[in-house]
This record gives sequence, C-alpha cells and structure tokens, in this order.
Amino acid sequence: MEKVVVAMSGGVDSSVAALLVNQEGYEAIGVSMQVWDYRNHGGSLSKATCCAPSDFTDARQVAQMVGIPYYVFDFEDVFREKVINKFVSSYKEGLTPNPCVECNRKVKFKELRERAESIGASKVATGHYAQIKKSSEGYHLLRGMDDSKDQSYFLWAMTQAELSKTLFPVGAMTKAEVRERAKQFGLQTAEKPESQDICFVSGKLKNFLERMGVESSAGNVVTAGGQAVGVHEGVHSFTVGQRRGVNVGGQESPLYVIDLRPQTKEVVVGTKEELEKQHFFVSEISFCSPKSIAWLSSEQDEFECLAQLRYRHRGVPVRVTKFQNILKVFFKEDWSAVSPGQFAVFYDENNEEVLGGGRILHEREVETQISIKDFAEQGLGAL
Amino acid sequence: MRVNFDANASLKPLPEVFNCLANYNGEFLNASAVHQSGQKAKLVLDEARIAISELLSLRGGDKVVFTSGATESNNAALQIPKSFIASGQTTIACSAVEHSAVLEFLRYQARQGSKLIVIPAAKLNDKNSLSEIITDDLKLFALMAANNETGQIFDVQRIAAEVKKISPRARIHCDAVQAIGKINLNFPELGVDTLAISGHKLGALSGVGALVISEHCHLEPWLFGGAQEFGLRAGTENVLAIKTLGIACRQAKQRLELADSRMLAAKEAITSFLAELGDLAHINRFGDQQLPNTVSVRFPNLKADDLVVALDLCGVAISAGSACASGRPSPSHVLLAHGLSIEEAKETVRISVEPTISETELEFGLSILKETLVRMLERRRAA
Repeated sequence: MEKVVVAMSGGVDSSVAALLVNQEGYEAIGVSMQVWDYRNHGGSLSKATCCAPSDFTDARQVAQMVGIPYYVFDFEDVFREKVINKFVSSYKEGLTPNPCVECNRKVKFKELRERAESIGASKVATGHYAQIKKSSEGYHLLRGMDDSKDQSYFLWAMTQAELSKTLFPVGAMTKAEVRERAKQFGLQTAEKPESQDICFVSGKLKNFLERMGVESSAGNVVTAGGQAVGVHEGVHSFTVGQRRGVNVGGQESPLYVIDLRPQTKEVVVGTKEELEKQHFFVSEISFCSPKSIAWLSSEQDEFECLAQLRYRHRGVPVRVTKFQNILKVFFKEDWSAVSPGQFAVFYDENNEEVLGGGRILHEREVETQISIKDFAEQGLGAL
Repeated sequence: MRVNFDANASLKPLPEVFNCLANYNGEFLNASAVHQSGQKAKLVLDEARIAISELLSLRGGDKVVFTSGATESNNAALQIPKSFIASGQTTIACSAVEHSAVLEFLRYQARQGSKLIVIPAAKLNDKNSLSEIITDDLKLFALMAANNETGQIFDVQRIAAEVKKISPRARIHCDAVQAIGKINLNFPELGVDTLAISGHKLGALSGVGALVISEHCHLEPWLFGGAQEFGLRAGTENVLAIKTLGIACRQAKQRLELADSRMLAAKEAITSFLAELGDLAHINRFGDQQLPNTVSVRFPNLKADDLVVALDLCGVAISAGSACASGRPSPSHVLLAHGLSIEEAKETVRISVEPTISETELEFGLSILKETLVRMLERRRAA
C-alpha cells in the first residue's frame, strides 16, 4: 500500500485530511512538526497557537481514532534558520515577511517531504484549502473550493514535481463540510477554533521581535521630501500601505505609510497617490503551472494575469514582463500599493489557477538583485 | 508481529507478571493494616524483598526499600545529608554518562551549592587514574553498573574500592537499572552503599522500583507521613506492582545463564549483519565490556529518527538516544561525552534485545532491520 505522510497540526483541517487519506486507501502516517519551543523562547505556552503540547495531544488522539500511526518530527533547527531568522531579519530591514510561505516552501514541502520519503512514504498530505488537478500538460494548483478559506496563496512556490507528490484532501470541501465530516466521525477537533496568528508568536508581535533582538526604537515620521511630521515608537510596528496608527494631524488628505527606513528609524508617510505604484519587481521567482513554466523558457517577453499581493487580497490585473533576471510587473488598471517582503502570486485570468509568484522587492533591493544574482540562483534554473 | 528491540527502554511484561495480574482476586491491599487482607499484602512485600535479596546476594542487614521507580531511587540515594552540608561545601562526583535521573539530580545539587565533578567515562576504565580527579573530601559518588545507551559495563567493584581508598567516608551509589537481569550482580561484592533498581526494565510493571541500602549506610527519610519502608519512604506501598517486581527478580535469577546465551546469540546475529554493511555502519564500542543485549550503531548520513520510525511502521521498536530525553529529541549526552559530534549522535541508534528473545522474534526483527536499512541506504546512495 502506498504510504502517505499527513502533516497534522492538531487542528480540524489536518485531522480530516488524515481521515480522508486513510479512507482513500493509502497507508496514512500522521506527523506533527515540532518547530518552536515556547518554553525556551520566553513565550507563553498557554497562548501558543501550534506546537503546544495540547495540539500534539489532539493530533495524537485523532490519529489513534482514525487508526493510523503518529509521530512528532523535530524541525526546530531548520525552522529557526529558514523561517524565524528570515522573519526577524525582514523586520530589521523594514520589510513585511510572510512566514507561512517560507514554512511551506522551505520546511513543509522540503524537509518534511525529505523525511517522509526517507521513511518510505511517496506523498505528503496537508490540510490546506487548495486543489491539485492533473491534465495532459501536467499538474495544476487551484484555489480551494471554499473561497473564504482558500490557501493557495501560501503554496505558490510548489514545483510540478512537488505537486505530483502532494495531496490536499480538504481542498475540494468547504470549512463547514470539513467540520461536519469531523463531527460525523467523532473527531474531538471538530469544533476547535481556527488558529489565526503566526504560529510561533504567542502574545504581541512587538514583544516577540524585541526578544529576538529587533530593537524597538522611536524615530521620526517623515514625508517623502524628508520633512519630519511626527514621531513613532518603532519602525517594525508598521507595514507599507498602512493607514491606521499614523499619528499625524492637520493633513488635508489621509496619510499612508509609503516606506520604512530602519537604518534611519524613519517611517515615511504620503498620500494615496504617493503610495500607489505603477509597477514593482519580484525575485525568488517560482512558476508552478505548465503554461507559466513554458512561458518562462519561451521567447515571449510578457504575459497578462491576475496578481494577488497578500493573503487577503482579491487579485488585480497585471502585465508580467521579464526584466533581466527578475520580473517587472505592471498594474494594468488602477495602480496599487505593494509591501516589499510580501509575495506576489500570479493567477490565471479566471482567478482559479496559481501560475507562480515571487517576493516583492523594495526599490533599494532591485539593483543588487539584478547585479549579483543570475537566473539559477533565483531558483529559475530548477524549472 | 511486534518485536521489542528497545529492551533497554522497557521489557514487555513477563508472562508470569501477566498471569499474576490475571489471577488477582480483588483483595484490598494495604500492607499496614492489621487485618488478614493487610497481612497478605505484607507477605507480598516480604516475598518481593526476598526475591531481590536473593538476586543480589544481600546480607541480613541490607535493606530493600520499594519506590516508584529508579528515578526516585536514584534521587533518594543522592540526597546530601545535613551533616555533610554543615561541614562546608560538599564535593560530589559521577561519570559523564550517567542516566539523567542521576546526572540532572546531581546538577541540581550543584546549583544548591555542592561542587560537582563529572568524570569522563574513559577515565573510569584506567586503573588508579581517579586520584588525579578526586580527593579525600569527596562525599558522594555515583556510577552506573552498565550504560543504557552504549551497553558499556563499568567495573563498579574496582572503581568503588578505589574511591573508598581515596575518600573512605564517601558514599557510593550504583544505578544498576540496566545491568540487573543481564549480568550477574553481587551487592556486597560491589562494595557500594546504595543501588537502584527499576521494575519495568526487568519485565515487571512500570511505576515501581527499589533502592537497596547497605547495612553500613545511613540514609535520611525522603518521604514523610508514615512508617512504611523502614520509615524512609512514607506512603502506602504499591503492592500489586511490587509483587510483579518480585516475580520479575525471581525470573531474572532463574534465567540468567539461559538469557545470557540468548541475548548474546541475538547480538551476534545483529552485529554480524551490521558488519556486512562495511562503511555504512559504525558500531560504537566503549570500554572493555558490554552488555550482552545492546548494540549502539551509527549509520553515517542517515537520520536515526527516520530509521526509528521506518522500523516502527514495520513492527520493530528501536530507539535513537535515550527514551526519556524524547520530549524534545536532543542529541544524547552519553554519545557526546564519548566524543561523538552532534551530527554523529543524531545518526546513532540503539538496538537492545530482551533477555527472553525467541528465535522467531530475532528472525523477524533481523529481517525487517535488513530490509529497511537496505532500502534506506540505497535511497541515500541514489540521492
């Protein structure tokens, strides 16, 4: 029987994923990933959203109920290196990180898969709300059936090879159906509340960053012209595009954060017009659909699609062009704000299939990205 | 079929123990009660004490105190008497490869103000080298009879004599958990003051153990609230579990020679298979003598944790490092103390067979071991 490792967080989605994989006739093996030890990092165990002993207990009991073996794998070292350190350094650089993307591409679908294959499992299953379809051209990564839960945004970096060895058993279900299935089977996680926060941050983000050595020092709020118009308590509390919390009075039109300069401790504010860009650049590019992969190696210089710029974003029409070894992306209709450090994920014209994506560069990064990195280092060589 | 190649973590309860539990007639068991049920319970304790006395050739004045297990026995034996503390800083010592129940407790004592000397295992093999490390102010010395992870046997008798020669007043404790039932032990000849026993390592229930106290040694009570166990360890005795401990000790004594040849034959079969793997397997051998049932082996570039899971999925239990440390699997302090790197320690597994291992069990376990290792090493080579 084909062995499948199911990543079990102790939540309802991965519980049902384990149930379905088992019912579909695979030999399912439940695995929880120990990625962060709250006790050793000053966090509050009771507030932890994952890796808390209670979550592992839930996962273990669900596995027992489903009737599959269960193990906890230790990924603390690789998680610290690839996810936490990146998260912290992004804030230090005034960027807005997305640790879920990093975890998926560098831990879950890399390290976990490696270990799954090592123990003889050919596939990895997770409780993500996304779908994989196979056609004569190859594999297609599609949005989850449940629009409100769709997690395909976090999975853009998957390759064709990875898609061929991955199962998303709840991707074609709605959250309500998942809970219902869990209830029918008597799984104790059926009514478990959703975890919303970043899994390794218990309590306030500001406190976490301070523990990790990101100094929260006050500085000036300035305009693009360099005029000081206010003060703030720390650059890393802000994200580009943010309007709330910008305490500058006496302005005619609302002000937005348009840039972060951690070196000089400046938060730059400006009008909506100053915030919105005509285009942006992305690196760390990865393409996952047969069509987009073909485009990348073709003579064609550009294609049109929709770009989703953060998890909760509807996706806007863009024109993607090859620009030396990175991509330059133009907004087709309204200009928009972009948060450097976040990921731009491209979807097809129906806003259904993930084509690929990349990390949004800060303007100051563009030059170095072009000059020091070649295509292979960008990950493009792997395609 | 499931085979226990992780005997140093726990034996399967012996058939005799099973029978005893199956035939338990519901008698209420408080050994301190005056009535007949109480007297029967008292007899159970007496019988178990006799079984332990016979197994270890105790003298009339030596005491057997029942405990909740070897951790309690080790902790109780390593308390520092007030009389020691009154006379200034207390020097205590142990080997670097002690079980955590000893090492961590002594480290706790060190935090309370004692001076702790941790002696490298290699030093204990050199005759007369202790005088370079300890002096006549040593008050407490702990040494295991055999190591749980490497199977190394220590010459407790010689080392205890050397310690007493250097510091005649030093109290010597021996953690004999892994040695009992596998090699012959004679308590008076060992020349130690206290000795710890674990029930489940002998095929009794878990949650029961004993501390043997020499007739020459005075310990202070560690639990208060009743006169049980010579006034040292208050609390109603766990009569049923103690009964299984007595049974297991009797069985251990009866089968010692037979068990020895069984374990050795199994160990020989396992090591000769590993030898066939050439450079792909390194057997760790430390010291002059090893337990007849334990093989510590390192597979370069193979994660020990993966091998443990892969074998478990096929019905064979082994372990990587010590089972107790597996809250967060950290590399074994024992292997590190022997000079292995962290990476090497994470590539090391322990295979330990039960004294009662049958030919069928050996055959099954060995074939799964071969099959799994060949597959994993093959994959490693391909990658």
